[in-house]
Amino acid sequence: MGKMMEQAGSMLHIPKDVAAGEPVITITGRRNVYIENYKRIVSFMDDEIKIQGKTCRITVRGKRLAIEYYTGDDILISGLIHSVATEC
Amino acid sequence: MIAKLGRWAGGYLELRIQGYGAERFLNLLKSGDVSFWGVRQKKDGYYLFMGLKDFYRIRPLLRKSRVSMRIVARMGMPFFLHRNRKRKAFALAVLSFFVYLYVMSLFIWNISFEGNWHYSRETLLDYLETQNVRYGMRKSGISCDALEEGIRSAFPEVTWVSARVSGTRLLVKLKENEVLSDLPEAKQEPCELIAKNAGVITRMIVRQGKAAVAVGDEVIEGQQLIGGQLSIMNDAGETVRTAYVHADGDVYAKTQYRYEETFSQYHTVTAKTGEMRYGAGFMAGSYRFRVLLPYFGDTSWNYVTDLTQVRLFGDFYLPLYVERIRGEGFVSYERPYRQEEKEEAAKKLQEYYQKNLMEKGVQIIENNAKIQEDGVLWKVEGIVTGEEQIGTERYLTEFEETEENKE
Repeated sequence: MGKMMEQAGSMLHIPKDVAAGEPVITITGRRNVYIENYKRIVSFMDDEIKIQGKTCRITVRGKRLAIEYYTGDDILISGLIHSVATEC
Repeated sequence: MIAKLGRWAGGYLELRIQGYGAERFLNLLKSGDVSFWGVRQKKDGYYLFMGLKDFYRIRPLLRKSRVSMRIVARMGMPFFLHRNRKRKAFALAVLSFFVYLYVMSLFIWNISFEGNWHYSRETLLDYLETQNVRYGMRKSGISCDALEEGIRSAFPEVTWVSARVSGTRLLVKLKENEVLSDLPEAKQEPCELIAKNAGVITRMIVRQGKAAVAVGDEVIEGQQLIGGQLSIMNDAGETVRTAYVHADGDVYAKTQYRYEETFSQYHTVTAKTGEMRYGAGFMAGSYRFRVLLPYFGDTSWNYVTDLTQVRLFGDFYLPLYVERIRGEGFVSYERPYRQEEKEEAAKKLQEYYQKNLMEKGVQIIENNAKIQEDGVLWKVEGIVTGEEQIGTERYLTEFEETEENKE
């Protein structure tokens, strides 16, 4: 299904994140992580935040992590970022 | 910034969430379209901020996710007003401040000009006064277009003008013509050149008329230098006719100026004591209020006051002035002149006269001054020798162009 959507998307020149609903992660220095296209928060601690995306799970590790804001489509995490990892 | 202001105006709460299903609660908030921000985890639970309106909608979500909630802090305008509901005078003061600002913003409190070089600020202000544009008038009473039009027609040297009202300030920008709009016309009326000062002629050029003196001649004040009456002769040496011209030429002469000034042997000297005194003042209309630090002594004071118009921001001037007063203490006493002070005074006088003459176009050749003692008085006597143009026009009043026919 995902593969098909991706292929259809690339044929129609639609960006992948729109076509397959893949998360877009933007990291600003060590301070902010901005994630679009996510589904929900799996767990939230001040040194680790796990976010469920539409196709994969994102783990942000760091210190003094906080969720600056949180809307239907995007989430902004702030704090001292150590790592951002994805797993399926 | 705007979002922050909106949150403050609507009021918001800081909440503490405790319980196992905190993440679930956050996800429920999201799917319930409840906006919140600043989520942090601390030892005793999760802390977050939420708008007041959204707060009333989260009760079912709390039950669903089985978390407990506590209000930690209440912030924003609704809470601020509630807390200060008994401070009526304070509210009135805040309100009257804004009313005052609004009322003040309807008037002009500062008029400034830019680019005026030929016309002084006072001249332009006087003109504005005739157009009923003045300090303290209503902003709505100004028509910038009419003002521009008026300035252009009243001042011919102004080639471009722009007037605009910004804040409580009327800003007039001008561009002036750098060359004179009309050249002085060459004069044609018959005249002669006479000496305005006595002196010895050093050099002369006659452009029109007849030279009445020569280089090396000593002339007195009022003496004719170049005549404006020309006699036209025939071969036999008889005058055929008399023509009158506008005498023109440059006549330079060596001139002398004497000066003297008498001084008393004693003079008053002031000495700074090094003491300083500061103060501040406030001026609104004709009302003036000043505060100076008290001083108990018999020092005299020399005050310097800086006046600054109060400006809220940008071009928002108010009809209030703040004064900064700085006083320097001094004592004065009388004592006789010392020799070097006399010399200093003589030199000053010498320079003063020299400067005055140079401004009048006299080239200084020599300038001597000497000090003469005269009992209780002393005086400085000096002679300046210079070279200058001494010719000045005197119009001929009685003349008749004659023409005799040659036989």
